Amino acid sequence: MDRFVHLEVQSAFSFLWGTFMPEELVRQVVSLGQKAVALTDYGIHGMVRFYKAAVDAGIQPIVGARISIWDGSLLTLLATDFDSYGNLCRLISIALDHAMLPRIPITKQDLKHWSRGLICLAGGRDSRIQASLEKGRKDAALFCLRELREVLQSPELLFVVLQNHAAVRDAVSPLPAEALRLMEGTVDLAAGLDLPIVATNGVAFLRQEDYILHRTLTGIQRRHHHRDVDPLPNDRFYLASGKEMEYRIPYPQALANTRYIASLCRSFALPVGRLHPPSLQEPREASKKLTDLTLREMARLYRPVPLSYIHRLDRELHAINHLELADFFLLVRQVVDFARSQGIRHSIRGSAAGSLVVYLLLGGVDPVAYDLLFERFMNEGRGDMPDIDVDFDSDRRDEVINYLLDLFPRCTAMVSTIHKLRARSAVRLVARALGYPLDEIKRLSTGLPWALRGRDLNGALEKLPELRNAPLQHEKQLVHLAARLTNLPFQSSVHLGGVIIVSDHIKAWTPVGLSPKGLPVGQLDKNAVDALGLLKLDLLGLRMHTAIRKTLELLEEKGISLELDRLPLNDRKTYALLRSTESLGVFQLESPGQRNLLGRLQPRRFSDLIAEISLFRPGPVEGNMVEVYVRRRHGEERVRIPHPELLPVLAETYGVILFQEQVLRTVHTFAGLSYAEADAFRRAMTKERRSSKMNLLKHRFIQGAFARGHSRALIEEVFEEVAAFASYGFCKAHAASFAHITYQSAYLKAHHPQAFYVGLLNAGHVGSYPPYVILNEARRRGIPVYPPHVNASELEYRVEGSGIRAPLVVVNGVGPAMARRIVADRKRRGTFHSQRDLLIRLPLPDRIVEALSLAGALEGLEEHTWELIPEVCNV
Amino acid sequence: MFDRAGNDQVFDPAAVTLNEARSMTVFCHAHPLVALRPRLAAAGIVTARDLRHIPSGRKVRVTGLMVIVHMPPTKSGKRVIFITLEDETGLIDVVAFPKAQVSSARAILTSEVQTVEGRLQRQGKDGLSKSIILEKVIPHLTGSLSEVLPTAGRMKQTGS
Repeated sequence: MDRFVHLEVQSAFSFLWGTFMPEELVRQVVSLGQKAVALTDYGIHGMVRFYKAAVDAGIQPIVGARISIWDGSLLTLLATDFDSYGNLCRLISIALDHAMLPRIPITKQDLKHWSRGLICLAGGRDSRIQASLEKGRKDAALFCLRELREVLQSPELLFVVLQNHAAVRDAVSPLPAEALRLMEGTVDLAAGLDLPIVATNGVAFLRQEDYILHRTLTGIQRRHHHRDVDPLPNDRFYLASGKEMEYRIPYPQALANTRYIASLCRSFALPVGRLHPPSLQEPREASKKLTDLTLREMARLYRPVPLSYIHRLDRELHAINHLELADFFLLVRQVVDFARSQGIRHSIRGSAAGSLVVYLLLGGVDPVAYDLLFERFMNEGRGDMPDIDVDFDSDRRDEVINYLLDLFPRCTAMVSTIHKLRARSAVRLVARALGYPLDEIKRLSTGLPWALRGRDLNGALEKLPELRNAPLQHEKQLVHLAARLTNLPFQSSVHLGGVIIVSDHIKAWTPVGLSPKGLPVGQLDKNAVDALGLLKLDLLGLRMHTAIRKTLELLEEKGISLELDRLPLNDRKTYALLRSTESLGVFQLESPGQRNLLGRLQPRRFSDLIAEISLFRPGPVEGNMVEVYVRRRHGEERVRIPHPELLPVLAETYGVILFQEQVLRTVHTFAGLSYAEADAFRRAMTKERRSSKMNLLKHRFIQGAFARGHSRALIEEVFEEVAAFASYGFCKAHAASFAHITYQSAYLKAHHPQAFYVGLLNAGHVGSYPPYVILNEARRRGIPVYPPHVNASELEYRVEGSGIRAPLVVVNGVGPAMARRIVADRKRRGTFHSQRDLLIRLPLPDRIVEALSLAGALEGLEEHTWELIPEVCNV
Repeated sequence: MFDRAGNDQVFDPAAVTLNEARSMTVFCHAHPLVALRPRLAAAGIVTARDLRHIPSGRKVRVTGLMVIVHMPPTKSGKRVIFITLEDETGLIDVVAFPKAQVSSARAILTSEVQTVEGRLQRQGKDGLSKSIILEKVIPHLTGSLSEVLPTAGRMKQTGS
């Protein structure tokens, strides 16, 4: 057994510095026989996965971070318990700059205020203490340590770091005199102040040979990000064995203190695996409020209210109150109420759309009418917080996020997202780090896919035909390094719409910085938030909502007022458009595969749209479900359902298990398992087919089905069928919710194509097709497309008569700022009479004038002569 | 020349469309392949509209701007490339299976205007769903078209 504990370790979550993932660290610690290890990145991005991996491997995880302080030193701080972890988060928060990088030094006041319970490791390579000792200035080193001791709230937790990275020939050679002198000086210094010493190695890579990876990462920082960063000076900053550390640092007390520090951190535990719903009001009060609201809404929508709805509501409210989640539902309602009050379009996505409570509170598709299952969304077997994901008009989504953040300013922050190096960017960045010229980098990466699903770079170079004779084949070192660095995290940013909400202070859970847009952002990604059982609201942006809003605004201008959300879902013209496969621009149904499927499925009703969205997924396509479904839908193949009990479950999809809800219902109906067990069964089928949990669930299924009197052969048949399709199935509630938007967009395209095209074009990147393809289709459908013109164009596409006028920004070189200047000047001082008039009023560069002229944007202006570029004329 | 209503009055439409292709990110007057259609027709290349009347299984050649190259994940790991081309009459869907990728993948992933040859596959009612099963990219035509059509940067690669 190796009793040494590494207390200063930086993984790849110290972006572009450490070379390994936390899980790899844990594996290496296990292989060395060590029992504990710390992770001390420049933040806590990797903390939860480190913690989970360590606990799973039987290793004690020690959580800490490195922060820079007023004198330029880096300090390592370790949490002894969850309270001190909160202090660590606050200190990191103070250090984060507007790029969300920990570059602001901590002041003495900050440290004084937030250091309770934190173990502080001072000294070592990046410290003023060591720098002073190296210069022979012991007094200065002493001053630094004294100052720290006075500032810290827990001075008894201050340790002085001993390091030795000096070169040695072998493990029996004497240590270099300079290294010994420095260590002696440090030990004397600590003794003079009666401070304990501790040995660390400042780990940035796991094995000695990985030093080159560290140098490459810092090379990327220098050459790509233009940061003033030096790599570590040699290859000895790796995860050394205890024996090697004994040899390098011949001070037994310094080694023993690593274990002592580990023992001080033993009471630290992350509260993973438990739910931490925010408690914003007293549970009973919240429950009553939720019941009142939903009952009132139900009475408003249904007259008389059918009994089935009352039973369903009662069942859902019971489950919600049992988990004390009424507050959570009311919070989402409050957010959506705000959006409604501001006229911001929204919809529910995901399994939440299967809940009657969600429907009554937030709108969407009636889950009872479309037979959507609440238990797919929430059941007592799920250990994580239920997700209610709401899509908002992309252009206005930030208003909603800001509302929520302002509502609970101390309790909220955006979720973070970690960006990993993908193969192509790894090649390009490593080439930069190695000093390749830019044109050579472009040549080397041509034809290299952005990502290589399931392949590493070497495998891709070997197997992908487009790379067979690629110049990259001859760049062995570049390929080796890029392959090693692919998939390492290299930066964090703000999640698209995830907001964490906690009951207490958000900084008790995560450091919080400000994004460039001024939003508070935590350092927990969505997996970490789930693992900690925190509430995350996904307030996402959906460009199709923007496109629909803009279309409706154009129709309003024409005097056409449409209540799109109240349209009956049976419009013949809409389905005829979809059957023609002319679905470009229609939400979810415009991809080549979906257009192909539209031609085959020939949708005639809303349930066909739900099926269409669910069918075109990798699982059903590869499992040949699509062909079977289409044939049965058209009566070309007999519908087969294994047992009459399953008729109500499978009849709607002609015996094909298409939806996850059908898996749950089949297991529940046929084998008598509870919905919670059935959902566990579904998830196990998807994620852990070979696990013992799966075997247990299979046993439960067989037992349950036997108890219900089914034969062995039938049980086997149904089990095989369910097992085969469980991982393929799509969430019907999600599909239904999306199908509603599909229908709305198809309706607009079928009835108001001109406005719809303009709405699409002005909504940013909606769907798969670039603007020129949308315009080409508009022209083919008889809608003229007019070129941009300085006297006619606006900042966006606009309706002009029966046609569409392009904006000035489509001209190469004309950006939004220049277009704004031209349009503003025209509105202020009238149309441009001549090219001279334009140039006097707005001095424009020659190349822009040439591009405007070529594009026809100056057509009709006096003194303007159309000059074609000669080589184009000759084509 | 265009008047304010977008009507073509004076100049050769072929030259105007190519001017647009050179100076804008969209095509307002017409699709740029309109200008090249006589040459393409002479080379036996059919349009998206022609495909509606060609029986399933027939070998065809089409030319189009590359709009989307999609490589969805597959459970088997086998890579299928879905390509969407566009000519002046509509969208053309092309599927490249691994065998065809051997000789064509590089051209597919690097050229933004493409002439391809393959078998037409029609499915569904009245053969409404059409795709071309790629057999080969015609390099000399693809190369010469790339020279005259300035379309750099328009192709979108997804799911790769």
